[in-house]
Amino acid sequence: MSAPQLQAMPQLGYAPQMPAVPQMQQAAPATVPESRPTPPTNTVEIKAPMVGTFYRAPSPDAESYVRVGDVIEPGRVLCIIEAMKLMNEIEAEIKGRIVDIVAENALPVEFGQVMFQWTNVHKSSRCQSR
Amino acid sequence: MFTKVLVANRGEIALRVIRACRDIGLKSVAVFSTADRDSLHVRFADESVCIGPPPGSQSYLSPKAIIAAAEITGADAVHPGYGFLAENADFAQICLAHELVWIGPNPKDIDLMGNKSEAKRTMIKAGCPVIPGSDGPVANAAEARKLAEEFGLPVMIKAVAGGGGRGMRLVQDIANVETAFEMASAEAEAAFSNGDLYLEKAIIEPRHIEIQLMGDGKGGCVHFGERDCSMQRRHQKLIEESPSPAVNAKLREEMGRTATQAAASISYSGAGTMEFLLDKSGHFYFMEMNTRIQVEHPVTEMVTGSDLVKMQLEVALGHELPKQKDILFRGHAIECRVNAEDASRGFLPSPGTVTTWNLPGGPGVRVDTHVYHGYAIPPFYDSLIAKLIVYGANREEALARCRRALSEFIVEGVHTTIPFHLQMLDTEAFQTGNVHTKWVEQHMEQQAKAGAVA
Repeated sequence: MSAPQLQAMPQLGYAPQMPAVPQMQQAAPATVPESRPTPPTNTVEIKAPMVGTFYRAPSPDAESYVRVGDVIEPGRVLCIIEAMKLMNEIEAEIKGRIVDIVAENALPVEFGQVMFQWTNVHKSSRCQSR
Repeated sequence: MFTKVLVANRGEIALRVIRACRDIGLKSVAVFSTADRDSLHVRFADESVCIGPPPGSQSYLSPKAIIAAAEITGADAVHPGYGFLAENADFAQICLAHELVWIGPNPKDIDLMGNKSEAKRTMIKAGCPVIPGSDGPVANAAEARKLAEEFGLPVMIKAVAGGGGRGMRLVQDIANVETAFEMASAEAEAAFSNGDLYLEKAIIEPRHIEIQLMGDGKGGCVHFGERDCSMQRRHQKLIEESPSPAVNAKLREEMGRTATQAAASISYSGAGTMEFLLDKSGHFYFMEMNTRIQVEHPVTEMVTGSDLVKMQLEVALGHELPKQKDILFRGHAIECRVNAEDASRGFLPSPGTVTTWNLPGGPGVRVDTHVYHGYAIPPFYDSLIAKLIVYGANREEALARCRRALSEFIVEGVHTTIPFHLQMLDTEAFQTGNVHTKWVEQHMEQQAKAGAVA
């Protein structure tokens, strides 16, 4: 008897960026072992620390919090994830440069879904409720 | 009305709810932690959302994550399953506040029945027998004697602050009540710095009998007979069956009527179970009410031919309850809870990857499980991996099928309680239905240790 093929099969039609393989178990970008020197060109995925709706700006008319190419200092707000009518500001934990914004504005993100591609980052983003 | 149900749970019960949704044309949304990405409930739901990391507090116990998942998927109802947030009145209230239909009882009834003394008061008012006991601490030894005379011997004296058997005395003879009271009080004072004691009638070697109920929230309520859950170890149920070998049609009718009256008195809505202790002379006493679907609901489904989870959904949709006279009992069902535990090592949890998984089949066999060949049982949650339910025309046939099914149920890679179930089935006491709630602890511990998994 062969095993049923039970790869993760995301069914959220509105989350096209979802990877077809199981993601890392933690939000921390552990793809790069700390012992290995990180080449400067390496990108790291910044993942959603919670499930909710992703917003790039505090309101529809406002400027986006961050843009591709921005160099981000720790503590800077990257985006908002709305859950239970609460706007949760997601802050950067350490310095890095944004190379891609993967999540789509005003669309849902799951826990662990990639939001940003980042360079020179060693820690995950964290969430703060406002 | 609702059309899309978010199942706020994991494992076999999440899959059970998803199946019921599919059977009546409702859409389902599974939520999962990163540890459950490959679980069957994720696979078979119409949609699924990852809600957090493995710890329950950040996923299945997080109202915020679950409500957010409902919001992003457009689910308009929540089924909580059992465990996790199923009996959390605050969560039920949060769902209602977010305009989600809560597939369960009114939050105030969850609260009411979750509070032991309030539940007891409600039951007394509805005419349901409860274990007679002192109303709070007993003032002195003379008062204790008076109460013991009133309740009838034996009685149990227990420390209010108690635990671990200290400050506890079982009294068989009225002449010993006062001495026992003084000794227990001194013991409690020494152990807990609180000598307060309460006293209640002792039920010797009781059976655990529970009545399955379904209410419509408008004062209507029906029962589906009893389940006997006397085969338990440290309050963890191991085997459940219906009908109980100790309950005849007359007692079933009486317990069922008492339970439905009590539930109807609070206009209870949805599935619920009243748990009773049954003593040897056929007296029953209310213990507590579980305001949710229970793990062992399938045995009731087998003997009544009903689908209780589907009925939960239908009640929430406003459908009528079946008539009591149409709920008929036929045959005998037994459920074995198969846990990933090593009985030979004190029932130590045994997470890991299932390398062989052969499910039993044949007449009268049902298995509710979320596990499959190659599945990795995560260490974060409870150890239930499957429920084996067998049905027979009578208890004898059910027992034979149970033994046959357990012997076909082959699991490798992790330890399971299957060998222990076979040992329990082989005891004369279980075969003759002559057990009580402490029987497994008193008679099976040695066998559990000896019966290392082959």
